[in-house]
Amino acid sequence: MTELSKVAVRKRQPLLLRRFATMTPLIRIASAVLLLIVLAAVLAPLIAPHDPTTPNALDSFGGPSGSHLLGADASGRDLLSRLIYGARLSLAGPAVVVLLMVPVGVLLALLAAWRGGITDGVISRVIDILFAFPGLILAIVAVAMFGAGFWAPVIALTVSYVPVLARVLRSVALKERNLPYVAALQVQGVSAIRIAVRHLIPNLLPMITVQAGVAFGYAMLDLAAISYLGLGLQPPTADWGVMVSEGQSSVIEGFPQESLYAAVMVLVTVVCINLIGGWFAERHDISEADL
Amino acid sequence: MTLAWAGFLGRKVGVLVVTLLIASLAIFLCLYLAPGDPATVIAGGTKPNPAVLAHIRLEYHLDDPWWQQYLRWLKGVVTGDMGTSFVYHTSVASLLRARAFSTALLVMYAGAIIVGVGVAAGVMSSLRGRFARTIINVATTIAMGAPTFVVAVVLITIFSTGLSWFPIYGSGSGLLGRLDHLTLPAIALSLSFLAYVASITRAAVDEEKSAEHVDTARSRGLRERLITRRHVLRNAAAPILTVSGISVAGLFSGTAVAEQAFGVQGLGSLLVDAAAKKDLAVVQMISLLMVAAFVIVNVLVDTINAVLDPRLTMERGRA
Amino acid sequence: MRNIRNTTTVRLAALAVAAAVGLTACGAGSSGSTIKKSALRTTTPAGTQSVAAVTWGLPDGEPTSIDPILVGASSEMTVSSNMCENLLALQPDFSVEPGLATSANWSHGGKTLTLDIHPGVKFWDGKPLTADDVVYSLQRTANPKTGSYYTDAFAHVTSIAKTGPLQVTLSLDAPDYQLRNALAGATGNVVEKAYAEKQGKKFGTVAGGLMCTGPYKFVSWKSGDSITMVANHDYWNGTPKVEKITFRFLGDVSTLTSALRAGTIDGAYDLPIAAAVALSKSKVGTIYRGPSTSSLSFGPTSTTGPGADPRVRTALDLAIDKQALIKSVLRGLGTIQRTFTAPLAWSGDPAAATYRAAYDALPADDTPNLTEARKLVKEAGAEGKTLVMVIPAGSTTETQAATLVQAAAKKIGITIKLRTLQPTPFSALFYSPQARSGTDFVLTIGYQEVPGPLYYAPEFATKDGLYNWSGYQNDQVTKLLNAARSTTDPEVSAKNFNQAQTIFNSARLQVTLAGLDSLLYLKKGLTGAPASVAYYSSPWALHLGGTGK
Repeated sequence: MTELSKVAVRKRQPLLLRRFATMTPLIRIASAVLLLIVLAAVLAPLIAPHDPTTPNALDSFGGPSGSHLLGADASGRDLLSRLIYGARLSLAGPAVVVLLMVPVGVLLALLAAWRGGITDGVISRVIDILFAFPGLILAIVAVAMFGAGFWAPVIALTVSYVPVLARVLRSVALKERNLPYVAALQVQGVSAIRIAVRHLIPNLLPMITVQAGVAFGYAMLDLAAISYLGLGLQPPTADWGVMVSEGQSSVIEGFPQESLYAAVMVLVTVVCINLIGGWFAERHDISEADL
Repeated sequence: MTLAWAGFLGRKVGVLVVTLLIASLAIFLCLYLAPGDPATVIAGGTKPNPAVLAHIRLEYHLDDPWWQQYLRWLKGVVTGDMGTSFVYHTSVASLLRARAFSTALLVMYAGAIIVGVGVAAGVMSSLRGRFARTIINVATTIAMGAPTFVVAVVLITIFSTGLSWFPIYGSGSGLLGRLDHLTLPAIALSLSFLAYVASITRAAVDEEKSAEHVDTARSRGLRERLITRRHVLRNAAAPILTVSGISVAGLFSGTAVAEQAFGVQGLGSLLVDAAAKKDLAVVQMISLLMVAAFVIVNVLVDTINAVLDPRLTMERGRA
Repeated sequence: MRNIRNTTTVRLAALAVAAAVGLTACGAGSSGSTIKKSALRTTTPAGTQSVAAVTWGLPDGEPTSIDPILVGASSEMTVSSNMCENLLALQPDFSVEPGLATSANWSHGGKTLTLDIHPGVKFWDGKPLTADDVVYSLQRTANPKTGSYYTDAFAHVTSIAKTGPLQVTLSLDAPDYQLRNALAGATGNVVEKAYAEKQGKKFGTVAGGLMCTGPYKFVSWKSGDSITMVANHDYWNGTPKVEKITFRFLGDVSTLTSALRAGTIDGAYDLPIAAAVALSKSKVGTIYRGPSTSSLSFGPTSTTGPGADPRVRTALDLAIDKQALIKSVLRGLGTIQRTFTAPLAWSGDPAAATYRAAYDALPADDTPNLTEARKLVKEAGAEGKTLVMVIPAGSTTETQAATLVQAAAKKIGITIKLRTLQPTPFSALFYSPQARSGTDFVLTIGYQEVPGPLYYAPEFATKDGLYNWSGYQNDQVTKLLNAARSTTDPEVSAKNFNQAQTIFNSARLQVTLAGLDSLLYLKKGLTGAPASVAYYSSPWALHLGGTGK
């Protein structure tokens, strides 16, 4: 294939149904599960059987029953409802991280790839330094600075993930930038921004999507861990990480349900994201080495 | 030592030192600029007394210009005086000394599991039959999505009721006692990295299996096992090593969760405790240590890779 | 991220997930029942056998200091009280007896307190206890520059003077009934002058250790690991039977519970509720319930807003089902408490009967009255309002109690939002008006480590009280509380206090949700520690020993 036709092929998106049909059964299941979880999060007030914050002393530690399908926690709050509402916060955090990380990462990568020279040098050095900070450590330092809560860890993780995205996109962007069609467009007098927006970014989209998926998964794990450590969202908020930590003292009393169910939710969500991300990467010829 | 090697190591060490200096400045500034008054934290949670606070500001040099405070801290780090804890009022160095061994042991234990079990699983899944491959694949997919705290809770559930093969709390004493107590934390810490290493190993061995030089060896009639050991593993070693190195480096930050979950008194749990209590002196020091550990391990991995493939010493910076 | 195509893989994965869910569902049991309640007791039978070593657990983690003037929390007090003693001795029933001071007598209308010091008492290094050490210790405790937590007790003390080789006299500008009670706690701590002066700021830290007169001697403090103390065989007031006690720091409930179950920890005070429940079925040891001054309550943090209106607080008090709270949050390990001053605060006082009569006359409010509550809310114009309640981070009991308060508030038309604060900002709330801004209530567990109803009441009910944040002011109450303080006659103090209490109690300065039990765990074969919270301020390990079984 010539360079131009490669570009042309990549820009054409296959229909959603066609895409679904090319998925293997496993990926279909993963997509369905993930969709269910997202729907649960969005529709929580409509589908949760109980209010997640209403305690009921009489139901404390109840097993599965008619009114509490998955049982109740130490305060008698319905576990199913808490898991459903928990999906909201547990998905919101990583979503915010990805939403913040992508524009910044793309911008830095394009700046570095396009301008080259000193700009590229500075940006690359900054990226290298940031690489030395594991996300969890940055988040813990942010909490020490600003106190526990939702935002400090989220911003810290964004700062930690941007370099990864920027570095990967930078090398892809460099390759793109050096393709003949870009020089052709420049000669025609097309502005840099126009080239970036109309040509470079669309061709970076598959890589961006894959990286966003990877980052979402990691962010979910890291944020849940931070809530588990008591440094993120606080009890009695219904969030999966918080539920694992809140329920841990009950494990030893013989009631592992709260912790285990929430932990399984985190696990299932991340595994689904990983599976779908891997399938997507294969489809778009992005090998493991590029990640 | 050849000139290329000297240049290589010199570059690596140079970058290491610069990275650490910049990291230390970044950490210091972050905590210096944090809202809140350290003097109040040091005074403890009681009625603040202006005389006491003034005395604290003097003793901890809190009113000096920031670059002076930074340089004083840096000098202290190099000479061994790491400051005084805001909460425990003893030297940070003594707090760290008491806990460093547990964390170091935990990281080494987890590292051994990652490399040992991970590589073995990867090799097995690549070379053995279809069934083994499938089981290991499923296990690794699930394990890669299992964060430390999830594994920890599952392990605690299993071992707190019924089975009691391993203690689920505490640090233990004596080397064997410590290892006994660190087994479950090490498993929780290593599981997801282990899965990642296994999958990379499998991919690398897969690739090498069908590579040219192996076919050549096979056609010369060499036994399968010898081929595996000498050719396939040797050349697959590089990506496996890189991934293992990155995983091990990431272990240091994971100790925060593993130690907290199992009640191990280590640097990770101290970091979490200090962050919650705003004991900036301790947070500063441990963050710096973890960053340093991460960077040093990466340099070591690069060096080992270069030993295996001397062509890497010629590399002139990144592409 | 590996793509898997095989249907066998899908089947295997599904099986694994199903198995996992099945396993967890199996474990569901009704472990929410309350534990069988034993009777409240203040002591356990004294130990008769010698024991070589005991490992004691500290559920609140590592102490930040063991210097008596800096001990304010559970871990610190549990460790320090066996080593450094106070001038007067707090008994398990919270009465005050002579201790290092053989007598503490008022004179000159209560403006002079004369302390006679027990002769023949030696510090661990052999040096004799003299009036100089007592003067030094009292001055150190009273001096704000040391960062001492107990300076307020000396508010009326104008001088501390040595008036004999074994006599110290305090002069006051006005009588202070509570001072004598305070001397039974850390306010009256005695340390060796020479050693403390030499150690300076290091006294009571890992590096500096201690030098006191108690039945146990400080040996070592391994940061992050343990504190060790050994028996003082030259103790002036008895013979400790346990040769060595090692304190282990266990900040985590699961860790603590497994350690207790496994028998690696021989005892612990201040057990978290979850641990107590988990251990109640175990045969390894016994849990003792004792009277405590601890209570779970919430109070206003602002002079404005619905929280500052006593009608709103009363409404909440009437709406909350306290019996249900005790059953579910405390698992039965608590009692209805009618006011913020716990009965144990006065039950050891000579005028206990007088206090008891007045206490019993207070309304119990132990059954919800929603109609009355809704009426009060409407009257106060608070219907539909949102209030912010602050709770401390990391505490299951407070969090669960707060959710119950939230639910009750909802029933009467008030929305309560919970805000969790970490320990440092949470403490700041108590001393800084800025920290309190934007909040309406703070829910907390409060206790007193020495007896005396005047410990808390003036701080809540008088105009300049430390914890009076809603601007409560009643001249009659102020007058009565002053009268209660400025006397040395227990009955006069009691009568005045009771009258004040009847008045301010209706304002619900604190909405008291429950009184908590003191929980002591002792491994089988060990006995002798007091079951009440007297362990805060007295050498509780003195009578600890083996049962011989």
